[in-house]
Amino acid sequence: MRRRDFIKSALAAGALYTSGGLPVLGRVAHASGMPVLGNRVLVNIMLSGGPDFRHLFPPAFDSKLDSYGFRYWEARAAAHSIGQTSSAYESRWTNDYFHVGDGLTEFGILAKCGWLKRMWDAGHAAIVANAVGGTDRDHSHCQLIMNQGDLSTGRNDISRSGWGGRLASYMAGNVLALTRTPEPFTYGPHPSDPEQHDNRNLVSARNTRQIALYRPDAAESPYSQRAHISRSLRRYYQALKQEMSPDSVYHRFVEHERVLRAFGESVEDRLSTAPLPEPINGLMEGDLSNPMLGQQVRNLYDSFACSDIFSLRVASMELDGWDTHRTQRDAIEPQLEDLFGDGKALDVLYQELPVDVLDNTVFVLGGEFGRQLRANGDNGTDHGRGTSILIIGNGVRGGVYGDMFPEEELARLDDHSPDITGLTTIDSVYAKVCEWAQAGAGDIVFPDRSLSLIENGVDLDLLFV
Amino acid sequence: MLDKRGFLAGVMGLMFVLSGCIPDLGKSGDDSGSSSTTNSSSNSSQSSQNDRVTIQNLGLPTVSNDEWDDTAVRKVLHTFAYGGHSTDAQIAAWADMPPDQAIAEMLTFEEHNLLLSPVTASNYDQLDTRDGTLRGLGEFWSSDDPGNGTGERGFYHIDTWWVDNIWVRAATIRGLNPFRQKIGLWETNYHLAVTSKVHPLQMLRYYDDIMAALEGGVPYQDVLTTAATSSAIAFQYGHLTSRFKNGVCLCNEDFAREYHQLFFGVLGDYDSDYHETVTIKNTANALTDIALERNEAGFWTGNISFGVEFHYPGILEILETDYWGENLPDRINQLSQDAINHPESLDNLPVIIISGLADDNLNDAKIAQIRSAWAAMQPKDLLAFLRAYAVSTLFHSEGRIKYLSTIDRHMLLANKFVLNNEENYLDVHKINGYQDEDVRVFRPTHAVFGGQTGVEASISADVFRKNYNRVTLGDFRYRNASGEKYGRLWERDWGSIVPIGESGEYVVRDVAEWLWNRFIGDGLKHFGPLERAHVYAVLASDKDLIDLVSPEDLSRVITSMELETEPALITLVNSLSAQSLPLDSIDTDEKHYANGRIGQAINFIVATPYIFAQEGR
Repeated sequence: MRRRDFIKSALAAGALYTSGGLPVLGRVAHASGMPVLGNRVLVNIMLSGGPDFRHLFPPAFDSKLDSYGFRYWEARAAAHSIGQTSSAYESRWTNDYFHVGDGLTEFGILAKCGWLKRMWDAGHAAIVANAVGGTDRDHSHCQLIMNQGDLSTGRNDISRSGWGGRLASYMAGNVLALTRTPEPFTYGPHPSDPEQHDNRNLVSARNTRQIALYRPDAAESPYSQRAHISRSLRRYYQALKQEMSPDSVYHRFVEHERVLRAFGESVEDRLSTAPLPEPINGLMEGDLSNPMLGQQVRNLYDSFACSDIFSLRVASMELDGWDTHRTQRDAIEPQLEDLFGDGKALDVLYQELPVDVLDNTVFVLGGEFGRQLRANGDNGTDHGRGTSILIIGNGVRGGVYGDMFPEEELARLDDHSPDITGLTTIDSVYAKVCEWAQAGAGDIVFPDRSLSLIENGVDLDLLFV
Repeated sequence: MLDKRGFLAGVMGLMFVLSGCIPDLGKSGDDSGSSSTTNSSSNSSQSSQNDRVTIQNLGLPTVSNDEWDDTAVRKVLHTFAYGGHSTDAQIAAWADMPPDQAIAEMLTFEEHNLLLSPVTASNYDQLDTRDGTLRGLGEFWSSDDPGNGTGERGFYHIDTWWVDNIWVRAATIRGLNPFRQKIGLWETNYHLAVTSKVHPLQMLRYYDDIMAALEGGVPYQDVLTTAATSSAIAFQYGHLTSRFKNGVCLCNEDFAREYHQLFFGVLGDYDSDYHETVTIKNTANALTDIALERNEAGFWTGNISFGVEFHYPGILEILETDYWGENLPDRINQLSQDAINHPESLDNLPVIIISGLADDNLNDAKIAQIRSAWAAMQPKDLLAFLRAYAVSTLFHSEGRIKYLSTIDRHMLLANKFVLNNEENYLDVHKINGYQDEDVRVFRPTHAVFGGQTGVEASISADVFRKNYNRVTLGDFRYRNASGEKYGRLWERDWGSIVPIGESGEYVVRDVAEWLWNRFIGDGLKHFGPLERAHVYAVLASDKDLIDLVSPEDLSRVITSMELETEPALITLVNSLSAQSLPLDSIDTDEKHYANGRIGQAINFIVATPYIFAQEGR
């Protein structure tokens, strides 16, 4: 990897500025009531549907007709909803993108993504280009591969563990599923059967503010009908926990009761005294186009606030809607802004979390595949294979890992279904992230990397400071 | 490239044709179809003896007559019909029949199946004679028809964004066909899913057209064609604006891919490059020149028409076969005839069906049998396939596990708790309670990839918590024995259906077992000492087991071992089980009390782990 240089020339050329001068790395020294993080934490944000990172990070416009910087814009003009003229390409590049680079390659960051730009400028955003997981362009299968981190995963291997669950298990802690339903990423390793999973380390936290099983409060009579049924069930499950075989089909439900008893009351008691910062609340109340993302950010914030109770090691988030077959610009940009924009999800989170938490947290963002090199006839893009992975955090050594715009793609632009060639497999990247989370984790979480690839000239050992 | 369309004729090794004709199940023969009777004669005698359908087993081994008992029947009803509304007598009658005859009565696609969902004696809404399409039901339930018992009629208008209300009521009210709604939901929210992106009118049309095709008994590929050429799909996937113009396809590949993958299970493994660069690309070309109709208010109506001018001219090679068609439906119809027999579809589609509906624990051996059955069937017939499967040893085996989705569980609970249509209209059960678990009908969790699965529900502690809190914090819902809503009084009457004992009393033990079988349906497999003790306690008293055993220490945990070995506990449990419930008391308060005890028992039963999954045996 070539070391990133700040591109001062881009500033001189009139590129766009962010609203603030300095990158925000976490202003809060330590939020009242938030425990000190005793370990590192991985936050995985799955972008389901196949996100188009080339829309977020396009090449710089170049007026030379046979250059990458011209032909990209020519091939993708429809997806950007711009005219098929050189001036339209240039105007789009100039007006709607920050101009950045890594000292070798100039590229853009969508101007709606001010926070991401600041993280890039601060050297804390890494882009792994030409990444690849599944190659059949099938959402379900490729998501499974991505969640499990296993290139050999077949379509029916739905019960295997996820790499997030394996990491949490190795770190002797828990993985928190902050999504509507737990992603396969969070499934833990089975002690004896690699085709199955064991979720004893999984805490399902769809709503951190409502996570406890009902228990009568002190004012309620212990002889009310509600108290009778509550007590009956509580004691029933206490007995059942001792009696039910772990191999039982129904054991997972007994586990839910156990986990909710273990965490629910403590978490609700802690959070009842920990006011939610207004900016975090705002994410759920209309500041984002996708309120589900706001809820997950709130859940993540709360997870850090209760990291000691949860034994937090890994957190799982998910944002769908990236399968932009038509009117891509209208579909993808609100999502990108929701994630990376000023005053949006990650920016707000960064402003509200204490520095020690941020110093020990890494965000990994990616989707199951990329998009084709050329726009389709419906102002969108269709499924491709190669993609990018974003890794963001105070401990990240920012930059571009891989050739962002391989010249060889130009020769294929007129093929049927041309797409990005995958050169670095996802497990290679994830293993390094795991290694940062805890030494030795990489080989444990990804024991078989016989199919792994790393692009020539890319050194993933440099991903973290 | 050779045209292979002619290869179907006379090639397949086994040709199956359904014999006989479908019995007329549109009307119940007598009032023993009422859910309020308990010891009536067999209802099935009312259907024409001469019209019995004998299903073909498609090579799947049929369960033996000995194994085909009440529990086996209940498992079919729980899995495929949200439990259904059949009386105990009907269930027993089906269990007494050969399974292949019983299943033909149990699972049908008609708008009404009055053996599966008999009307009660009052039948004031006469649903058994009304239009049973979703649109028809929506029009009725939003109308001023004096038979319409709906309170909040505005929530059933067919052009509102609450069309899910129509479906939920259709799946849980008597006089219709809950199997039809189960499959309708699976097709429109899972297999051939569309989302709330489409207008309610489009959604209703989509649902009703698919169900009409299934009811009509057309080959399954034609059902898929109906879906593929619908207004809802065109809008969902965005090819409503696709045009072939000046030699360029102004289109996208979205449905071009998912038609093959989601509808037929053709994933492209036969030749991935060819699939990407030829099949998908050319299918996109075929999905051109569509016009969707809007109504005066500007909303999509569900009507669709197809043009020629901007449709791809000439031959398109798809799945290694050439297709020519004047317009979109012409091409897709031809393509579907071949796609259904594509090797990948033969492998994947039956697995999609069975794993989606009935088994989360498929292994290689089961998959092989399922594939063999599907491949052997010509033409492909979803009903025949499901019937054969539902009475097979594959379904009725210990290895089968089906986790219930949120919707599965809530519809089952509604069907087992609500005793008549008046209670349904008065929302005694809160049939929309599933929404608390962040699930919506016609708004699948994973968009076109389908709604929440049973497996997903099973691994979500939040779903468990919601269910648990519903019966604790919300314990009154099952316990309330009377009330008033919309100015109408209601009163629970479990005594109208709970079997009375030989002693002439409603004995706690018998009632407990009946309730467990009604809601859990496992033949009492998991109704062990622990469960019995707790249920007996709340049935026989207004306390709980711990309070009865150890009032001085309410934190005591009582184990199965203790219940089976400690004399004092054994005596107590026996005593509780022998109590009687005054369900038939003429004293109103006493009767309400007894009904409340049953409600409390239900609170317990439906909070056990066993409500969340079903085993095959």
